[in-house]
Amino acid sequence: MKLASNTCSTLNKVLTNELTGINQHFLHARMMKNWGFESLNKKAYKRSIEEMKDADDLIERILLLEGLPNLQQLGKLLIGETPEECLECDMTFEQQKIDQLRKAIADCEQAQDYISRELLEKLLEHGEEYLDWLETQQYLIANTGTQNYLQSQI
Amino acid sequence: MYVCICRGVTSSQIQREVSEQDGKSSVREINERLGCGKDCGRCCSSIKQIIQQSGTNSSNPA
Ligand code: FES
Ligand SMILES: [Fe+2]
Repeated sequence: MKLASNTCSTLNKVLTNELTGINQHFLHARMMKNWGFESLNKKAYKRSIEEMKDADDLIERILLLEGLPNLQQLGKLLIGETPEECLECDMTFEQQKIDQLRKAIADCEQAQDYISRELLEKLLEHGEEYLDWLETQQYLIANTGTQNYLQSQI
Repeated sequence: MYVCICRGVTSSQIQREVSEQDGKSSVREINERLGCGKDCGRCCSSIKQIIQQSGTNSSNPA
């Protein structure tokens, strides 16, 4: 089943962002682990694996549409130097990801590619859930103080 | 945060370098001194942004 060439490039751009997410979250997870923040490690690790599954779905979809998934392209990683900075960087990352997905969903809708749209909607849901968790962490940091927050994440 | 992932160079290192040169550094000079921007080059636009921001805000201590 052949896809319109702009759908292919839309899906590939989303794929680039998913691949970037795998690495950013994986590195943050292991930095958290190295600092001793086990629960932040687990959370970021899970997100990284989720991104890998999302990327997998995109790859299969692009192949089904007879395109070539671009696994060579990677975006700029946003890596923090401290736990709070890591969370901030992830927030920036997820926000731009959500913006991109919303646009991509609109594009698929217009191209009447409803299956790709559904797939992107799932990725958007993952992104929104993680952004919500990040917002909760920032709220906790602001209200209980960084020290207390980090103490609770060991 | 880390601006240059390839060489592990942080935003505060770049800001410090820029303020030591009175905000007159170019991206190339910063890259020469700190070693950033020499591998994949993906950080160069961020480095440029930091230089510009430090230049307009010369009281930046970090
Ligand atoms: S991130 Fe700076 S050269 Fe690659
Ligand atoms: Fe994802």
